[in-house]
Amino acid sequence: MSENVEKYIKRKVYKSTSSRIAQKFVDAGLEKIRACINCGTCTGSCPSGRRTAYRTRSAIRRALTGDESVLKDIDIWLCSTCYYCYERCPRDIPVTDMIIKLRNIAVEEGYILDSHFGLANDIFYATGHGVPATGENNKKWRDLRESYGLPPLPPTVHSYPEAVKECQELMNAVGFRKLLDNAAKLKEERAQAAKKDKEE
Amino acid sequence: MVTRGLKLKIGLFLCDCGKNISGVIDNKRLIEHFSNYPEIHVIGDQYLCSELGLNKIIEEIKEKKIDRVVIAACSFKLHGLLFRKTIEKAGINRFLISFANIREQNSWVHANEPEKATKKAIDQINMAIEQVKLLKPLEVQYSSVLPSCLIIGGGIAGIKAAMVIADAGYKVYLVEKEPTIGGHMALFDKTFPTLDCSICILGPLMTEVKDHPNIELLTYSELEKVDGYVGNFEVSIRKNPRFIKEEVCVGCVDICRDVCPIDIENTYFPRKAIDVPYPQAIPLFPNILEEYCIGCKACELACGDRNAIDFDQKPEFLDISVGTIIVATGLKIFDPSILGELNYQKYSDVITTMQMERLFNNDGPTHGRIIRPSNGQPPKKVSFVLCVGSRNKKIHREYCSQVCCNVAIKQAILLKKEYPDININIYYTDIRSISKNCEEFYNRAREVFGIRFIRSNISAILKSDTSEELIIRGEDVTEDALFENKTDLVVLAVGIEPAENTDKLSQILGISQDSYGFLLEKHLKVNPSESSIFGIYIAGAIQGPKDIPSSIAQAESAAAKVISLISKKKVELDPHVVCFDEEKCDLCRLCENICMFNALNIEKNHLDIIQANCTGCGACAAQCPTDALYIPGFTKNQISAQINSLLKDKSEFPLIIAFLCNWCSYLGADLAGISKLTYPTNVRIIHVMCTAMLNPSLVFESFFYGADGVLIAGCYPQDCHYQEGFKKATTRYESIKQMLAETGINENRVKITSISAGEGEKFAQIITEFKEELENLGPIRPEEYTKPISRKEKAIDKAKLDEI
Repeated sequence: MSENVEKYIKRKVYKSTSSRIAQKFVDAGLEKIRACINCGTCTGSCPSGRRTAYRTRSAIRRALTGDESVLKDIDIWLCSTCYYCYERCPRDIPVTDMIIKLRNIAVEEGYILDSHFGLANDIFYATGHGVPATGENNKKWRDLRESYGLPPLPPTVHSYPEAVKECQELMNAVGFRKLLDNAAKLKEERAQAAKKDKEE
Repeated sequence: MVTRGLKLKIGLFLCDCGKNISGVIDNKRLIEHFSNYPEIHVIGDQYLCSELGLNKIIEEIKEKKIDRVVIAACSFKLHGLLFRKTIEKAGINRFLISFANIREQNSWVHANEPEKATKKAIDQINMAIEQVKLLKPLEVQYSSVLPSCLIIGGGIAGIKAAMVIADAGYKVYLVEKEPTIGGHMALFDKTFPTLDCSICILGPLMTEVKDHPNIELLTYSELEKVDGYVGNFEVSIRKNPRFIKEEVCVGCVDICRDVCPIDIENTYFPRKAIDVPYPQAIPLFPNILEEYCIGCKACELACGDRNAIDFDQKPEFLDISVGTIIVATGLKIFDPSILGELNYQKYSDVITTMQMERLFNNDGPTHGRIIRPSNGQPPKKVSFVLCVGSRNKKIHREYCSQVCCNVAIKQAILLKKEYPDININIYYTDIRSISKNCEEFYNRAREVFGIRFIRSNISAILKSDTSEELIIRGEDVTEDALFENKTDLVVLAVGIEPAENTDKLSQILGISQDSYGFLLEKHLKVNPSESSIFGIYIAGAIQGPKDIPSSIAQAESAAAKVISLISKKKVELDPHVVCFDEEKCDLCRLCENICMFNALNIEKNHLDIIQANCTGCGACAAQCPTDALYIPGFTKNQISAQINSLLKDKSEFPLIIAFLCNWCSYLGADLAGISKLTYPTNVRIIHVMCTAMLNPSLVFESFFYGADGVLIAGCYPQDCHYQEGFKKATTRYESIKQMLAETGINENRVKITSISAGEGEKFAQIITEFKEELENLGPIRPEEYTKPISRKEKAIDKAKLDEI
C-alpha cells in the first residue's frame, strides 16, 4: 500500500482508543459516566461553551471512548464549574466532577498549561499563597491595610517566612510537588520528541 | 406436635432450572449431601415445573411412599401453588410442603460465589426440612364470590373492562370521580397512528355503557372505604352533589348555562359555573361548581317548571357489596413547571401537548384553530420538545412515558396538514415510536410531511430581546454544535404520571405501588393485570404509561380475570388463620387488645375465635404468653426449628437471620434476584406472613444459638397488608433492643426496616451494609456490650430500688 493512501486511511480511523481513561473514572468512583445517553443537555446549558469552543458532552464522550487527545485539549480548562450541567443532567451524572477528574488525569499525564504550571510552581509552592501580597503590583493593598492601622502584610505565611517551609512539607506530603515535577518532566520529554520530529 | 414414633419419609426435589440454579450451585453435591439423611429421599430434575418434572414428583411420591415434600427451586411465589396442587394429585395434603428458595434468593444473587452459594443452599434446604417435619395437614376453606365487579375509573380502560364484564352477564358498578366518563381520551382530538377522531370512536362506547342494563354508572363519585376480602368486598362510595336532580334533568344544558353570569377563566378548559365538561359528556347532566357559584339562581329561574336544580343537595353515601374490583384510575399529565429552564407558565407560548390537543379540538377554546396564546395569531414556526418529565433521574421520573414521541409526531403531522407552510422542528433524544404502525407513522412525518427532527435535549427556552419570538437553545448532538433557534410556539411533549391521589387509593385498597406511584402488578410479565391482593385487578395507565390500544388490551385482560373468578362462584381461602389451644389459655386478654379485625372475643371466661374475620397476621400469637394461639405453618416451634437447624452448624460469619414479611419484603428480596443484583451470601431468610407475627423470643433464640445479626423487614407502615402489623412489630422491636442491651448483647445486632416489593436494590444494599457492620462488631459473644446509662437514669433507678 502506498504511503499516501495509508496516511489517508489512518486519518479516517479513530485514533488511539483505549479504555484507560474510562477506567480511571471508574477507579475514582465516577462510573456513572457510563450512563450518558448523549442528549446534549450539558453542552446546551454551558455558559462557557456559548462563548468558547468548549463542548462538555463531546469532551466527556471522547474521554469515555478513550480518545486521549482530549487530555491535551485546552478546552477542558474552559469550564467555570458553575454546575449547570450537573443540575440538569437527566441521568444524574456529576458532569462537573467528571471535567475536574479529566483535568486531574491531564495533569498526571503532563498536560498542564504553562500559566497553571507557573502559578503552581513559582507562586503557590514558593510562597504558600495563590495570590501573594508581596509583589510590587500589590503595594496599593499593603498601603490600604496600613491606612486602617493594620500591619502591611496579613498574619498568614507572609508574616511568618519560616512557615513557608511547613507549607512546602505539607505539599510534598500530599504529592503536590511530585505531581508538578512529573508534569514538567513529561512535558519536557514531549517537547524534545516534537523537536526531534520536526528536525527529521 | 411432632408425630413422634412415626417415621416420616420426606421427598426432597431439587431443581436445576436449566443453568439458572445448577450454573452456580453444585446440585450434585447437594444430592450427595442429603442422600446421607436416612429419612430423606432426594430427587434431582432439570426443570421441576415442566410437565415431565411434575409427573416425576407424582411418580416418586407414590413409588417411595413419601409423605412430606421439600422443593428446592425458585421462589414459592412463582410456582408454589403449582407444586402444592401437584402433591395433592399424588395424595398428600397440599400444605405438607416446604420450599427452599435457591434461585431468587441464592443462585441469582450469588452468581460469583458458587462455593458459598452451595453452602447457603444446604442451610436453606435444612431449614425447609425442619419446617416440613412439623407441618400439619390443613383443610382449604371456601368462600362464595359475589357475581359483581366494582370498576374504579371511567376512562377508556374502565369503560372497556365494564363492557366485557357486563356483556358476560355480571353486574358492574363503574365509579368515576369526574362528572363524565371518558377520561383523558375524550379530551384528545385525533389518535395516533390512524388519525381518527378520538371522541368519534369513544363516544359510542360511552353511550353503550350508559345504556347497558348490567352497568350502574356512578359519576362524580369517589371511593371512601373498602373492607372484606376476595369475593366479598364491602365498598362505601361518596357521591358528590351536582346540585342537579338527575332524575328530572333532561340534559338540554344550554338553557341553564347561557344564563349563568360566571365565566371560569381557564385558557384550555373554559366553562361556566353551571356547565357540562363537553357536549358528548355521559351522563349529560350539568354540574354546579360550588366554589365559583355566587348563588344568583338565574339557572334555577331559566330551568323553570322542570325544576331540576337543587341548591341544597348534599353528598350521598352508598354502600355496595362486590366480588371483585378493577382499578383503572389512569394518569395525570406531568406538570413541567418544576423544570425551570423551560419557562413553562412564564411564557404563554410554551404549552404542553395536552393543551395543544385542546387547541386542535373542535370543542376546545379556539374551536380547532391553532394560535399563539400570547397574541392569538397563527404560528409560523412550531417546536416540539420531547422527553419532558420522562427519562429524567433528577426529578425521579426515570421511566419512558411511551406515548409522548407519537403524540408529538401526530400533532406535527396534523399541523402540517392544516397549515402546509408551517415550519416544524422536533427536538428529541431518542425517537421511540413503538406500537403497531407507529414507526411507519414516524417515517411518514419525515418523508411525506418534511418535519425536521433534531437530536437534542433542549437546555433552555428564552424570550427574544428583539422580537416576540421565543428562543430555543440546545446542542445538536449529531453536529456537535450549539444552536439558538427562533420559534413562535413551543410544545412540550409531557410525560405520564399516576393519577392524582393514587397514594390514598392504594391505602384504601391495601395494594402496593411502585417507586413512582404506579400500581404494582403481581408479576411484570406473567401477571400484569393482577394487583398484590387477590380479587383486585389493575388496568390501563395506572399500572404504567400506556397508549390507548395497550390500555384496552390490559382492561380486557383484567375483565377476563374477573369473569373467570366470578364464574367459579367460590374461591379458596387461605387456611393460615389463627388456631387456638384452649387448655393453654389463661384469659389474659392481651390478644383481644392487639387484634384489630375483631377475630378474637372473650366472653364468659371463654375465648371465641371468629375465623372469617382473621387475616392471619399473627400479632395475637406473638403476643400470647402461653402460646395458646398460633398460626399454622408459622408456629413458634416451626420457626424455632428452622433457626436451630441453621445454627447447629453455623456455616458462615457473619450470619444474618432475616425475617421477611410475605407481602413486601420477601417480594423485595425476590426482586433483587430477578434483577440479578448481588449481595453477600451471609443472609438466611425466614418467611413470615407479617412482621407482627414474630415472637420476640425467636430473636433471642437466634442470638442464643449464635446468629450474629437479625433483620426484621416488613412493609412501609402505610402499605401494611394488616393495617398496623409493621407498627406493632416496631413497638416490639424497641423492647427487643432494650432487653438485648440488658443481657449484654449489642443492640445494633438487630435491625428493623421497611422494604417494599419494588425495592430489590434496597434489600441488597441493606444486607451489604449490615454484613459490614457485623464484621466490625465481630462474632457474637456474651457480655460483649454494656448499655451506656445516663446519670439521670441511674439516679431514677436507684431511687426506685431504695423505695422498694
